[in-house]
Amino acid sequence: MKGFYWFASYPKAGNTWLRLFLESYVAGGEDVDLNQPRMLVNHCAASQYFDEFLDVESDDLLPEECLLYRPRQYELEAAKSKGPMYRKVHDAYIQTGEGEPLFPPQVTLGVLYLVRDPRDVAISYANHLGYSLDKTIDIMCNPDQLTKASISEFTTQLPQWIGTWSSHVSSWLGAPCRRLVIRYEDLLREGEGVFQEVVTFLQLPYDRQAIKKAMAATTFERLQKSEEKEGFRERSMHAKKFFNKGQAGRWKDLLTVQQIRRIEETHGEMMALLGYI
Amino acid sequence: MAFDYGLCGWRVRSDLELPEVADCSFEDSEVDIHIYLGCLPSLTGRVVFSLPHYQVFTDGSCLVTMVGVGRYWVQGGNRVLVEPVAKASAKDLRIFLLTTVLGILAHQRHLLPLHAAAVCWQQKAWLLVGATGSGKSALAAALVQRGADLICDEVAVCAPQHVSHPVVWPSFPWMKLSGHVLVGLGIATETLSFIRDGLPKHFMKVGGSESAKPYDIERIFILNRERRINRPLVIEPLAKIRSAGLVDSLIYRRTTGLHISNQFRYFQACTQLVRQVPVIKINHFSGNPDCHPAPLADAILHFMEGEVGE
Repeated sequence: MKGFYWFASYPKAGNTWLRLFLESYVAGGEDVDLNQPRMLVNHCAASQYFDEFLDVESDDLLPEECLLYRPRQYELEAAKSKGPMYRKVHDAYIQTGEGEPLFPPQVTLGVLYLVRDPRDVAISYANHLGYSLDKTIDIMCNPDQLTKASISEFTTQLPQWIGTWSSHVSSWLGAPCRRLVIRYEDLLREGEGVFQEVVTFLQLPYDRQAIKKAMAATTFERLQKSEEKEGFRERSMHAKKFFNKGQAGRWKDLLTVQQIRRIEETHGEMMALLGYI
Repeated sequence: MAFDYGLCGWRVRSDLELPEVADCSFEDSEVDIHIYLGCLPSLTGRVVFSLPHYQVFTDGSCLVTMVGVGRYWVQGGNRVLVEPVAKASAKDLRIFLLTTVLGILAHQRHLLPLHAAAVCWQQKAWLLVGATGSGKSALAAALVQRGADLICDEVAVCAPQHVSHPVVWPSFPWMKLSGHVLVGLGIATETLSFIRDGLPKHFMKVGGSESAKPYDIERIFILNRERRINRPLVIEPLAKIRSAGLVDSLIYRRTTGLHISNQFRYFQACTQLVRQVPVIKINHFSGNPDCHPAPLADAILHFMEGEVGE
C-alpha cells in the first residue's frame, strides 16, 4: 500500500505530540529521542526532499513555483516508496496555480486532522512566533498567511499556505479523502481511546500495551524534561521552549475579553461546529 | 551584440549580458560555449529521463524548464539556447543559467560538478561541500573575511583527472547569502540586491579569485549540519572509502547528471578525487555558538595550521 497519511493541522494543534506518540508506539512504547527521531513522520514541506526528488534548489524558487511542483514531488516519493509514508502538514488543503490539489488524491491514503481550540492556539502560537497575542490573532485571521522559509534554526522548510484558522479547518474537513478528525482536548482528556482510534485509522497493528507505554513515554512532563536536558531542534528561535504548557483552557486566564471576542467573532462558526462554543 | 566571458576556464560568448562573470581574458582562444537567446525548435528526440524541470534526450542534450522564467536547451556541453517567457527578468534568467545550466554543461563536458563553494587559501583550493542548508556559503563568506579568495559558490566545477592533480575551476565571485548570515558576519544588507525579487536571499560580490586558471584542490571539507543539538563541533579526517561515497552523493544535479553521463564515470571521478585529496568531515550545529560561520572558519583555520604543522 503506497502513498501518504497526512498528519495535518493548523500550527500548535498538537501535531508534534501526536507524531512523537506514533514514533514511540511503533517502537513498542520506547522513549523517544527528541532530536534523533526515527523520522517516521517527516515534514511534507522539508526542502531537503523537494530538492532531492526534483533535483532543484528550492531556495532559488518563488513560493508559488515551489507550490506548483510539490504535487510532483509527492508523486515521485510515492512511486519510490515500499509502503505507506507519514507526513506532517501545516498547509491548508489548497490547489496549486494549475488548479490541482497540493496533496494529490491518488497518493493519499488518508488524512489525520488535528484541531485545537483557537483561543488556546493563539497563546501557544504567540509563544512559538515570539509575537504579541494581538499580532498572533491578526495572523490567525489573515487569509493570506504564508509561513516564511523557516523560523527554526534546524530545519529548512518550503513556504506553507496556512490561511486563517477557520479556512484551514474547513479546507481539510472538505478534502475528498478518507479522514479522521481528532480534537487536541479529547487527546488530553480521553487519551487511550483516541490514540487507539489513531492506530486503527492508520491501519497499524493494534497493541494495547504499546499504546499505554507510548502514552507514558510522551506525556508533556516527560517531553518537557527531555527538552530541558537535550533541547529540541524544532523549537522556534523565538520561544524559550517548545513544550510549554500543553494544557486546554488556558485562554480563560490569559486572553482579554476583547481578544476572546475577536477570535470568536471571526472563527465562531467553525468553533461551534467543533464544539468549542 | 554578443558578450565574451571567461567562466570555469571556458571562453563563453553570450547573447545575454552576464555582469557577474568576468570578461574573457583569453581572447585568442576559440569560443568554447555559445549562449543564444531565441525560440526553441520543436524537440522531437527521444526522452530518456524526465523530471518536472528536466528532460534528457538520447544525445545527452538537456532541456531545463523554469516556469515563469524560461527554457534552456543545453547541448553537447557547448551550446545553450535560452527562450525566456514574456516578462522574464534578466536577473531571473541568469540565476538559473549560472547554477543549474552551468552544472548541466559540466556534466556534458565530463567534468565533476559538486554542490560546493570553493575558496583559495595560500594559493590552494579548499572545497566546502554539502547539501543545501549545510552552511557552505556562510562558511566561505567567513573565510573570505579572513583573507581567502572566493573561487566559486554553489557549483564547484572540478576535474579530478586534470594533468597531475585534481583541480577546481573559478567561476564568478558572487555569493548567495541569507539576511541572517550576513548580519551575523557584520555585513550590511541595505545595498545588496536579492537573488530574485520575492526571495529573501541576497546576491553579493566578494573578494574573488582574479585568475582564470584552475586551482589545485588541497582539501575537501564535507559539511554536515548535525540534527542533534547540544553537541560540540567535530572536525575529523574521513577514510577514503567513506569519502568517495559522500562526495558522490553531493554531485550537483546528480539525478539528472546520471542520465547525461554514467554512474561508473562519476564513481571513478569521485574515487580519483579522494585518492589524492584528503577529506575532512565537519559536524556542526547552528545552535552551538562555536559553529556559527565566524568561529567555524577560525576553527578550520586552526585545524589546518595543526595539520600543516604535523
